[in-house]
Amino acid sequence: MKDLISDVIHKLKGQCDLLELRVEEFTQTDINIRGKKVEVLREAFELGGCARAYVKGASGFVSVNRVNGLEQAAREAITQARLAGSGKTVLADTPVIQDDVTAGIINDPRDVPPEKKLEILKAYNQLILGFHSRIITSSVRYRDGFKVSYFGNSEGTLIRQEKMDLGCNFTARASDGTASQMGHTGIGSSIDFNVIYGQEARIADACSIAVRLLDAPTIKGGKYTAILDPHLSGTFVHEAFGHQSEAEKVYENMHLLELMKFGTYFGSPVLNVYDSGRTHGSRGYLKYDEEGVPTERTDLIRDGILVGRLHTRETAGKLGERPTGNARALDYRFAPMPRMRNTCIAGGASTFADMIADVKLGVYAVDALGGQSEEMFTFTAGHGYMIRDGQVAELVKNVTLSGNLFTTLKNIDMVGEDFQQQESGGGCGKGDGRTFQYPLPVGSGAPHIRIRDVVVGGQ
Amino acid sequence: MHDLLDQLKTHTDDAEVFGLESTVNLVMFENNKLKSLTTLNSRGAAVRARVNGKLGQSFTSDLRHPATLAERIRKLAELGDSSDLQFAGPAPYAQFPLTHPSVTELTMEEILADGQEAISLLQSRFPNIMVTLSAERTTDNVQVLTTNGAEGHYERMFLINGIIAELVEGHNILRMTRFRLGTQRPASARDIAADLAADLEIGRKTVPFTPGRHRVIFAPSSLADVLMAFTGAVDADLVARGVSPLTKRMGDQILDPRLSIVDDPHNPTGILSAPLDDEGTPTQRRAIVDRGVLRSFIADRNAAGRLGISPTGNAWRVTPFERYKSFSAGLSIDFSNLVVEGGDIAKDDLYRDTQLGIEVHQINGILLGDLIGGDFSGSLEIAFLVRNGERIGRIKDAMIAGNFFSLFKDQIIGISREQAWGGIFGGVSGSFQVPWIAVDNVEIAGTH
Repeated sequence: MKDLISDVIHKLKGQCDLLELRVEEFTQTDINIRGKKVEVLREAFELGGCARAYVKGASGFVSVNRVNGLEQAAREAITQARLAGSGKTVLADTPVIQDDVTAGIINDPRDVPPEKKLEILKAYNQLILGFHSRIITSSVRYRDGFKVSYFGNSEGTLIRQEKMDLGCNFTARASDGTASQMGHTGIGSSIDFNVIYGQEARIADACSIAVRLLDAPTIKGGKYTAILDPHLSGTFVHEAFGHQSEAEKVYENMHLLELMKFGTYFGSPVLNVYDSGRTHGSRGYLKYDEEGVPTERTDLIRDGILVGRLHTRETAGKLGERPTGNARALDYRFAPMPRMRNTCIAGGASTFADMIADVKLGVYAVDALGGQSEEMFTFTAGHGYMIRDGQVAELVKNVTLSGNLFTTLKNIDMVGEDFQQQESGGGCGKGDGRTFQYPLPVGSGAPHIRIRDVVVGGQ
Repeated sequence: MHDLLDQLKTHTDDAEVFGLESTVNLVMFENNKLKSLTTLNSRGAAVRARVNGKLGQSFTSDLRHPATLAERIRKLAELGDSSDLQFAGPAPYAQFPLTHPSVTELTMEEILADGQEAISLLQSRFPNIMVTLSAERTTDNVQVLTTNGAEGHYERMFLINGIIAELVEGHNILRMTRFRLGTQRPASARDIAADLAADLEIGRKTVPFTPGRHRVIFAPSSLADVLMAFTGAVDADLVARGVSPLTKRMGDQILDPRLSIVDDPHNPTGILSAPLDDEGTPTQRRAIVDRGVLRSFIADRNAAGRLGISPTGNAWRVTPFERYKSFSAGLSIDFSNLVVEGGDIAKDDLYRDTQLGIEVHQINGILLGDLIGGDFSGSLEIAFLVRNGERIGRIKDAMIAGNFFSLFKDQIIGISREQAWGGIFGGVSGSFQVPWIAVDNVEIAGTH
């Protein structure tokens, strides 16, 4: 495959400013169990490739899933780029790399026969269904995938890179005959099938939450002091700040760039945020991004001050900044765009007891169902507890929180010492329409954090 | 695909093949400039097959070795659970056009000129504006074959014109999204830009509001957002599991009598129109809620079997959220084009009758919640304060929460005669032809 890529690039490299070719082979196994049935048992194979050409500041991108179409795709990409280009191609310099990257897998899901995976997942499913008489159905959704991607560009970079990705979500749904509630947990890894083992306690907790939420009131909407558990803190930083640090937002928008220039006091002084492609085992781990740029740990906020952002070669080049290895694409159907890898709030100095002690009325928001990012971002907890007079009080449901990019990070007044790395079974979505890429494997890490004046939706 | 079906006949007891060949042409302007031209070609198949009553599945982009694939599925199926699934048999499929000259004959020159004109229009009104504009033309060739004799095929071509306009003024980021789509040529980029310009003018001014219960006018794209708290409840799979609040409500008045919700797969312009679903079941226009009364669920073959009803032709192999056809996607139950019938009030009168209210365009975060019971919650990304019938500015840092089955049963003030195509995420996703609906006493939380 490397020879094919080299040959096509050699033939066509003089016809554009930069030519990139990517070919991906992947296999995946899906197992979905719902209620008492294995509903999906699927093994699949896919092969595809794409070419991207830059000419005069614009690009042409063509994907195919026939490898013998790669040269034709590259020619079309060049034709398209020529049609679109009218300026100057500016891309950050990056080292020419020739490398062969193995996934570094500890326990390989491909070595585990499907019957063994079924046995493990069925046992968990049984645990959910048998947990309580109010549990009416279950969902266990497992996927493992193994991808070999080949990347080459007209500058001489040629990389073969393996990547494994495993994710599994467990959902319990309880009903009292009129309404239903769910509890959820998930796991993920990029190196170890064995994370699947030993999930009984977490699944039992999710079941317990589903049952108890049936009797829980909906949170009353309003403005609260919120303490987020590490899982939700990870989702929070991804939505509240991570997406805004993806540089395509600002690289040609001087007004937004002015608001997000380095040195701006963006968060409270206790806040440190970074994104890393080098967290071994995280679903966001990767050695090279989809432009062949080595990944790194990128500091984004240091002591509350904006110090970094997440780049493709183009965004870094246009801003005169250093590429960070954040050009990611879900698969060969997509051109890369700036995406997070493993996004973290660094551990601080506070204990949970410190955080809650002086909160007269607040919410302790726990677990994450997900989030959505805009200037006013939204993130949803799995469940929450009211905080009353410094104590964790009653369980509440439908805890959706909202914040504002320019104020909420400054309202973080305490950061916990209990940093936890979190690998969920889901993924990140970004883009609009045909450029929407989901679910991209990412990780997050954070401790408990406390935020003042968070708007919570409720009835 | 017939080769593959023949091999499956040899290796398995019964089987279904979904074949898809797609071509997508995408023109993207970013930050006011033509940025990229993209062509996506894909071809592949998804397969389900049974052996001794047990079900296995696969998908592949490599159709050169059908015997190998059939043998692999056979081995996998032997490990599966028994399934009562009945693959589709021969059936007549409706014939109607899914390709139209207004889309097929549109030239690249016309698309580029339309995009440039739209950007120029917005720049002339708002010198600092940053426009991302896309024109996407997709051709899907879909084929469904089963060993039971179903054999369906159609070609569908649609066009999606979209604009995301961003104005940054001080610490206000106003980012408005508007997409228009159709198998017949939808609104041009220029028309979308003109429509957006009026809203941008209102939205650049932020006005205070008082948290509490408000009259809300759901504009079409936000109505699509809140309809997400409805669609799951009529999913026959969730009904069969007893999860849906509508499990025992067939024939009941569940919504306001002025409200009718239709699954419309034969809509002449809807981009999710199709004569058959992705299991090969014929589709048909179907009232799900007729004048407030629950009349039907939406079902795939599996859920229909468990509920003891006929499959409704609502099984789709589509990508999550955006709902593009994909051979690698699993089957999901969903509406085709979701139509909410227009009401009896002129849209202008809905506004004229509103002394104080909030017009909502885009709600963020709704899809993150547990929507099955009808509860929804999200932040008001784009919402305008309406006073004495006039839109006076944007409200920010606000959240909306409610229960679909309460708001749209007891609290509807009026439904506009006019309908528009909308979608979730500001109109980007799905295919919804819906009116403007005014609802009273909706809880809006905020910081002010």
